[in-house]
Amino acid sequence: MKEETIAAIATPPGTGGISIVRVSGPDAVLAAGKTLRLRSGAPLSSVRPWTVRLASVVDREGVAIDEALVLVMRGPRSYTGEDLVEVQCHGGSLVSQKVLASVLEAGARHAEPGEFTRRAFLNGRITLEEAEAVLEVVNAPTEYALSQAGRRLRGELGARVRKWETRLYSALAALQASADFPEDVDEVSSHAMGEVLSVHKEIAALLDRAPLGLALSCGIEACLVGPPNAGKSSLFNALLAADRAIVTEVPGTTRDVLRETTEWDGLPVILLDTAGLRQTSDVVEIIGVERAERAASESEVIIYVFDSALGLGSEDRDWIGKWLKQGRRVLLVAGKSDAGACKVSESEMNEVAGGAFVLASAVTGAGLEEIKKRVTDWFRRGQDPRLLSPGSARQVDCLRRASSSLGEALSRRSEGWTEDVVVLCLEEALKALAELTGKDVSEETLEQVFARFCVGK
Amino acid sequence: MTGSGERFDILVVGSGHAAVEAALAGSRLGRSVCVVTLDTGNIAGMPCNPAIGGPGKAQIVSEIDALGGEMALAVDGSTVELRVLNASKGPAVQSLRAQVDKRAYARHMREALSRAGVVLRQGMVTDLSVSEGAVQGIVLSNGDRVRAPRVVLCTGVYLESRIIVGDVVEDSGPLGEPSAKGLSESLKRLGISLGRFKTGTSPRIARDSIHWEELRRETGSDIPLAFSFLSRPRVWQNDACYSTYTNEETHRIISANRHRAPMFNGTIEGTGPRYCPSIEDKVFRFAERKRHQIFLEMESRDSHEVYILGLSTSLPVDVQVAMVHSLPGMKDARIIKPGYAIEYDCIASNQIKPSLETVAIKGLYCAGQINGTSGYEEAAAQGLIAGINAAITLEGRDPVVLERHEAYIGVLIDDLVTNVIDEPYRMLTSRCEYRLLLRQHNADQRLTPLGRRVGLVSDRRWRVFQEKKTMLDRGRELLGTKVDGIEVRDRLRTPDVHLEDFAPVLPGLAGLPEDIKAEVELEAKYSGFIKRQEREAQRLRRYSSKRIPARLSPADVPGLSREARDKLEKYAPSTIGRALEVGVSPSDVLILLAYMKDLGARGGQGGDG
Repeated sequence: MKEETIAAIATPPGTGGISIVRVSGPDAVLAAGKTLRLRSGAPLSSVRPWTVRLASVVDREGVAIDEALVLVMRGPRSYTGEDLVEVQCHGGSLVSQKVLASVLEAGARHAEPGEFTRRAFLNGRITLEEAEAVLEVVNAPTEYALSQAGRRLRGELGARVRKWETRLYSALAALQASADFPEDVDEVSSHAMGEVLSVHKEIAALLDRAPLGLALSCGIEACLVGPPNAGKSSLFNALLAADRAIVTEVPGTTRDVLRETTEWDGLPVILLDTAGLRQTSDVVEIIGVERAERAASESEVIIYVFDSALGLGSEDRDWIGKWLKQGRRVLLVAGKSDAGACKVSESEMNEVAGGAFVLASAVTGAGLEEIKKRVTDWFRRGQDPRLLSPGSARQVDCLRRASSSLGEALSRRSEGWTEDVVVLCLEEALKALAELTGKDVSEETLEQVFARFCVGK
Repeated sequence: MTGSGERFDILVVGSGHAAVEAALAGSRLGRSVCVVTLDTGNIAGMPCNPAIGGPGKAQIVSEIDALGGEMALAVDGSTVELRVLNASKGPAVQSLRAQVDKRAYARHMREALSRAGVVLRQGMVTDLSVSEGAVQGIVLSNGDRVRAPRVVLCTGVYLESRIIVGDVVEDSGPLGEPSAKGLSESLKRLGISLGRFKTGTSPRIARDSIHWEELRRETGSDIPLAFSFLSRPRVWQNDACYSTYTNEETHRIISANRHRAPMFNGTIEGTGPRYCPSIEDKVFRFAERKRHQIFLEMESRDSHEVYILGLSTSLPVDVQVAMVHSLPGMKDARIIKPGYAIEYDCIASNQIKPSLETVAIKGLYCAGQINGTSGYEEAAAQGLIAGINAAITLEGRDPVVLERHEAYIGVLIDDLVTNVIDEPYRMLTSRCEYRLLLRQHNADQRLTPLGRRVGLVSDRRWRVFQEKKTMLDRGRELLGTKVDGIEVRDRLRTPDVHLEDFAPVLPGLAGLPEDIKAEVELEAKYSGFIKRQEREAQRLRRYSSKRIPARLSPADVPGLSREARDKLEKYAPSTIGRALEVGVSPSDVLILLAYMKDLGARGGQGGDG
């Protein structure tokens, strides 16, 4: 059975300088050739691979629609490991759409999200870990995030995991040898358990960096909520240093949820502005309030803003209490702090928000840096963002399972359980690590990894 | 050539532990069976240590027993010392080990064969007769032919064997018997490729030449024990085992003669077992160790020979003498038989199917050391399975194949058929993933119903099994009793609470036998871990039962390694599990799964099965 040829626009939608259409598969050159006319009149298949050529893009009637640079790569020496053609046409969604349409007409199929990288993996060009890192590099929103992804693209996480595996296997072998050769092997288990303890500590140290790693690769969602007219939208604009949200004196101005991406202290932050929480009969506003509540409940940080001059009502306390009880990160912000003294004492705010509160003013800029610091500190936890950290929920999950199995091995041992149980826990830890590096595999892993890709990569 | 016209249902070649179980199984399933062997005086011999069991091996013996085999009964009929190994290391690795009277053991097996009506015949098999890819019988060195639609090869260490002691090399079997000539050539002609393995044993010492008072006596367990589910547990202590240690002088003698060791000077070509190293091997490989423990075991009440466990060697006889004399209590010791190494032909075991039938020739089965294993227990297990399958396939029934989560025997055979074994294969508890499920003492609960379906479990065994099951259920019910609002079974789930602690409040306990109490206590105590292993086994089964569509052509799957492609083409596995079993690597399986998914998306009838 022959692989299908796939095609997609690899650059983001919208108007730009250039736009790249990517075609991969056994008929890539044939399909792309139907819509490209080389200046020399020679067919595309005659082009020497890995050289750049100028060509006209023509539509079905043979009418030239654009000029493009064409790059032909022959498998297996290409990103996907198959024949690959990249057409650089002028930016502008219509032009690239037309190029893509003619390639599809010539027999190619539209690629699914991540399909190019998936083919690269399936053709043995990259490992599973590298495939994940490719996605991270593509999406890296900040420099730290990019350097993290780069480390994983070079396989640093896998190398560290393999070292742990070697040490755990030697501990396991010692325990098993004493069971299999009771006459030949002396007591070895205390040394073996020492090794387990030290690997457990190292994994725990890496897991401490998991919130930071996930924040770097996925961004921190921080949601501004609070009563109407508390100054959320002004804070939103001030924190973004941009005039993004409409600000008026009229309570209930913000209806829909606004999202903007920014960078605080090297960490990517997705800031959300929401409608004020209040009882209302306005149909549109009711929906806005519902959306605000949902946005807050789905984000990682809730920034609860109230008006210093008005103080905290019982409704405010209810909201904050509810979220704190759920274990959410809530930052209490006394807004409009420039307008006069805050009606709520610091000790009261301290009590309501469990210590996390800031006095801030969108007008003077007071407290803005502290808000940013408070939010990022939750993820940084004093860690250096340049050191290796896990970058996907899948990796964190594998590490967590390995860590909990090792922790269990140690505790079972000290509780006086027999060695066979300790061995079982070690084997489970090793299985979790093998899953992380892709040695032990399941279809779910594969789907998890490739489902997050965008089309064209 | 004479055409004697003799004909049997099953021919068994050899008379060691594999052969005996194969012949008994075949015969008890109603087939006419003939055992052809070099020496009919040597049945179920023990050319190495006079002991059965130990970690991993004891579990196998109990499984053989549960299925209706003979080994455990023969052990119980000839035990001299019986003890539990790994008692403190947990139920998954706890194992019985019996020192047996090797002559009594052989007598038991000879009588069993005779009772079962197995025909014994002396002779050397030099050729197989095969027609249209199916075995038809055997040819003996004198030209006689015996016909049978099933032949089970249990050639042990005899195929083209060479015995090596120092620089003396002889074409011979272990006990001065001839080496089996011709059959290796015949197998090669039939397209079966052969390997060459090596094993060895230790010198035998005259009992009356040892100063026993200088050694430490090792006594069997004080608790009554038995191997077979049919035997009454007993205490076995017969003053038959002693221990001591090698010393620096022993190690100096060995080191000084390194150049004369066939292991190191190139005389031995075969690969020896890493898990059963010779003393010279141990001294060189673990140079930092100042001493190695050794055990002296009486071989039989009717014999003067004493076996030295831990002193396997092929050094020249004069070095063996010096070495033995350096040991405590052995300064006057007389060597009756020197230790030796033996090299022999075996087949690359991935040429057999999980039924133990060869891939190349229908009706031809292999069991025991010919498949690359070492150990009496491993051999007997294969003999039993080969014997069963040779017999029941004659009736058109499907062969018995045990899975890895069902039995150590399943692990053993799966490892053999999936891998190319590169050293003699010994069973270890660490080879078994589901060792908490596959305990020695629940072998009957796991396998006796299967043995009954096969037809090997006698009415008596079936009755004993059902009685035990009833008792177990009664015990389990008792554990449901609440004490202070919590069920006893939940209270037991910590290491320092024991069933006996509840004796005052559970009067029903007194009526239960000790082994039943121990079993239900263990089930409750380890229930959390047992459930985890059961879940894992189930998960694996689900994943591995995913079907590989027949229309899939490995050559079309991009990115597969050449090795994986070859294996997929050669074995055409029907499921992902089978693919893993024939040695396709997990990352190749991942690629295969992804391809199957695409195939499903494109072709309608997908890879999901």
